[in-house]
Amino acid sequence: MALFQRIEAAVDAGIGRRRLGYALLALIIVYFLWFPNDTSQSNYAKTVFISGFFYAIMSSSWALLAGIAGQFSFGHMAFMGIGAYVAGLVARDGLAFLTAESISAVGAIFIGTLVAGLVGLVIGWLLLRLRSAYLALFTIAFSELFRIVMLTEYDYTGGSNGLSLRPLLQIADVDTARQVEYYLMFALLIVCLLALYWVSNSPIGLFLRAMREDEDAASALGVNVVRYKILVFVFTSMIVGLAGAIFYSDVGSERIIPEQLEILQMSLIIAYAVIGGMESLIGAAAGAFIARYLLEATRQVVITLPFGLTMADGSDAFVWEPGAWRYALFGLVMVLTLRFMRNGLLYPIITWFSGRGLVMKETVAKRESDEDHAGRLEVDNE
Amino acid sequence: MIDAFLAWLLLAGPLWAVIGLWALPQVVGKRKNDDEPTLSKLQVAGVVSGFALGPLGLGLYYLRPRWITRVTLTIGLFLAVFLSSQALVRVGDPNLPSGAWLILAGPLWSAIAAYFIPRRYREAEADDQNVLTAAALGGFAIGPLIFGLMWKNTPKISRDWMIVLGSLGAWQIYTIFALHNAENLCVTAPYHITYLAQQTANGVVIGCIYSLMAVGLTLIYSVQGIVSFAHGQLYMVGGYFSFYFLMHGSNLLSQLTGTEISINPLWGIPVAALIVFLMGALFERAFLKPMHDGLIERVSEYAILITFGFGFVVEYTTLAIAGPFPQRTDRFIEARRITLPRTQITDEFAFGPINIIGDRAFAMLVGIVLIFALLYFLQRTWTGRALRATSQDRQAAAVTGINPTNMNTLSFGMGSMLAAMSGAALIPIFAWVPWVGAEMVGRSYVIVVLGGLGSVPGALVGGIIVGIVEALGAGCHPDPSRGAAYKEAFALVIFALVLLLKPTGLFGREQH
Repeated sequence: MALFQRIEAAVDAGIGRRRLGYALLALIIVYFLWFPNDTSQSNYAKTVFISGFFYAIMSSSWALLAGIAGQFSFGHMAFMGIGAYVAGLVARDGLAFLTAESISAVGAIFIGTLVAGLVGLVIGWLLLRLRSAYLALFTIAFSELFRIVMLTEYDYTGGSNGLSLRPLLQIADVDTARQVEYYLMFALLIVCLLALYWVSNSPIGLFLRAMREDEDAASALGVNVVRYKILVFVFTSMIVGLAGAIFYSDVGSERIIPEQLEILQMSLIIAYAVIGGMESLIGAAAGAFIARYLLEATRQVVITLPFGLTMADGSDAFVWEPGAWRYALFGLVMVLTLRFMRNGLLYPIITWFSGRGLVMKETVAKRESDEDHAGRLEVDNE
Repeated sequence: MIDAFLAWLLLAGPLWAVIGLWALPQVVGKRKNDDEPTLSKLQVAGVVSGFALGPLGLGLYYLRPRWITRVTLTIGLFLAVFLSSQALVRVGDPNLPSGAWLILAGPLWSAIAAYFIPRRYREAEADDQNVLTAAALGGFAIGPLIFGLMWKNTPKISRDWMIVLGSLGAWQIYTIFALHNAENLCVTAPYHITYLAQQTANGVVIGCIYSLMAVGLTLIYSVQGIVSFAHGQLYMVGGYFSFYFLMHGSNLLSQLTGTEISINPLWGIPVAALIVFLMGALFERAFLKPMHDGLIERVSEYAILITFGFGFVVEYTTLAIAGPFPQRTDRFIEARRITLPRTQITDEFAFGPINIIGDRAFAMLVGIVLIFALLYFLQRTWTGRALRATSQDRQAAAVTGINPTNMNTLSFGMGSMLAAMSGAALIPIFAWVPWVGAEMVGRSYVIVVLGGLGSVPGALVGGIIVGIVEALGAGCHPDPSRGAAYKEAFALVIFALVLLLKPTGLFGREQH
C-alpha cells in the first residue's frame, strides 16, 4: 500500500491525476483507432470489438436512464429492436407514399430512430404514474409483448429467422468491410457517449439526479418532473434505436432476430452496467466492453502448464470449456458488486483519475466527525 | 335455439328474477340483522341472483349475502353477454357494427374519457378513486355517453360500476369477434358450449398452479415490500431439484433392493421445497438483510437488481449443470385423462364430455391442498399471524415481540419455497429447460398485479383468471398456431392495462 501511496503522491506532484487520466484516455482511443490496422488480428477479433462497441452504447445509455435518472426500465432492448425492425420493414415494404426503392439505408435508419423515439415518448408518458418495481414490471411486459409479436407475425417480420435490414455499407472485400464497419461503430460509440455526457453534465443531468433521489422534493423545488422524465425516455430510446438500426444494417450483424429481445439479453445489459458502474456513463460503457471481451475470450480457457508438467492425457495445457459457467460467474460478480461496490468495479479508478476522491474523502471525514459530535451530544443529554 | 332458451328460462333467467324480486325481501327481511340491507338493495339482489343462477343464486344470497351479489352480478352479465351475442351472430351483418363501434365507442373514446374525466373529478374535488378505470372502461363500452354519466354529477364510483361497464365492453368484443369469425369453434353452435367449457376447465386447472406460485411472490411483497425478480428461476430450479432427487433416489433404491423402483414425483415436492427454502433464506440473510439494516442507499433499486442478479446466477448455474436438454419426470398417476360426464340439457346445450389430463388434475389438487395449508398456516399458527402482523405494521409487530428480521427471512424463504413447489408439481407435465422460469415468472407478475400486490386472495383469484384468459385466448384465436404463440401475450395485455388503469389491482390495499 505504501508503494501505491508514493506513486499517488508523485502523480499529484507531477502532471496531476486529471491530466494523467486524459492522457490514458487518449492512449486508449489511439489504440482503438490503430487496432484494425494490426494485421496479426483476425476479422473475428474485429467482430468481437464491434459488438463490444454496440453493447457499450446500450449499457451506457441504460446507465443514463436507470443510474442517473432512476427509471428502472427493462425495455431498453425493445427500443433497440423497434429501431432495427422499423428500419428493416421500411426498407423492404416502403412507407405510405414512399416506395421501398426510394428509401436508402440511411433513410431507413433515420425513420427507425424516429419511430423508436416516438414509442419512447408514448411509453415515457404512460410510465409517469408508475415508480420503481411497477415501472420495471411494466417495461418487462412491454418488451415481452413486442418480442412475442415480432416472433409470431412471421409474414412480416420473418419470425424466428429474423429480418434482414438494407446493408448500410456495400463493400465487396471482407477485410476492408470489417475495417470500415469497425470505424463506423467506434465513431457511433464516441458520438453517443458525447451526447450522453452532454445531457448528464448539463442542468438537465442535475434535474434527473434530483428526480432520482426524491421525485416529490424535486417537483416541489421547481423541476418539471413530467418533462424531464419523458425527455430522458425519448433521448435514450432514440440513441438505442439508432444504434440498433445501424448495428443490424449488416454492420455488426446481418439480421435482427427476436431472441435478441429476450429478457435474458436485457439482463446482460444491466449486468454490464452494474459491473462497470451504473452512475458513470464511461464506467458502464467500459464495463460492457470489457465484460463482452472477457466473455468472448473465455469460451475456451487454455492454461499452458509451466515446468514441463503434463496433464493425465499427455498434453501440456489445461483446457477448460466453461460454457454456461462463465455466465454464472459473471452473475456472481454482478451480485457481489451490487452488494459491496455499489458504484461498480471501475468507479474507484475513475474517481481516482478525476481527483474527486480527494474532495470526497474530506467531506466524508467531516461528516463522520460531525456524527461523532452529535453522538457525544446525545450521550451528554442522557 | 328455442330449446336452449327454454332450459335457461326454467333454470334461471327472467322467471327466477321475478321470483327473486318478490321472495328475497320477504325471506331476508324477516332476519333481524344489524346490517340489514335496504328494500331496494334486496330487490336488486333478488333480480340479479335469480337471473344469473336461478334458485341456486337465491339460496346462496340467503346464506352469504355479502359476496354473492357481486359474483352473481358478474355471472349474470356475462350470461347476458353471451346469449345476446349469440342472437346477434344469427342475424347480424359482419361488416355493419365494427366500423360504427370504432367511431361510437372503442379504444379512441376510452382514451379520451380516461384523459378528461379524472381531470373533471379533480376540478370538482370529488372522490377520484377508481375514476380512471371507470372512465376508460366506460369510454370503451358506451363511447361519449360516459361523459353524460360522469361529467356533470361526478358520482362516486363503486365496484358495481366497473362490473357493469366491463361486461358491456366484453359484450362488444365478443359480438364483434363472433360476427367476424362465424365459423370459429368458440362461436358455432352446437359445439361452442362444450368447447368453451373445455377451455375454461383447462384454464382453471392450470390456474391453480399459477396461483400457488403467485402467492409466493405476493407473500414476499407483503412482508418486505419488494418484488422478487428471481422468482421464475427459483420455480425452475425447484423442478430440477425434484428431477434429480427422483432420478438418483430411484437409482439408489433400485440398487439397494435389486428391483426396478421409481419414486412417485409427489415426493419430489417436499425435497425441492426444503432445498429452495434454505436457498431463499440464505440469500435473504446475505443480501437483503443489509438493506433492511439501512446499510444500503436507494433500497428499491437495490432490491430489484439484487434479486434479478440472484436469478441470473441460479439460471446459468443450472444451465451449466443440467445442460439445455429438455427433461421430464414420470407421471403422477397412470390415468391419461379424467373425463367429466356428459351433461346433456338440450340438443344445443350440452356440457361435455370435458377431458382433463390426469396429471394436470393431480397437479391442481396438489396446488389446492398446498394453498389451503398455507392459508391455515397464515391464519391459525402463531408464526403465520406474526408474518401477517409484520406485513401490516412492522414497528407495531416489533413492539409486540415479533422479530421482523426473522420474519423477513421466513417470508423470502417461504415465497421461494412456494415457487419451487409449483415447479416440482409441474415438471411431470411440461418439458423442463433452464429458461422455463422466464415465461412463468411473467405470468406470476401478471397475477399478482391483477390481484393486487401483497394480497393473498388476489393472487388466488388472479391465477385462475389468468389461466382462463390464456386458455380461452389461445383456444379462440382464429389462427390456431398464432393463438398458441400469443398465449402469454393475452395475459400481458391485461397486465399492461391493469398497471396503467388500476395499479392497486382487484384486491390491493388502496394507496392514500
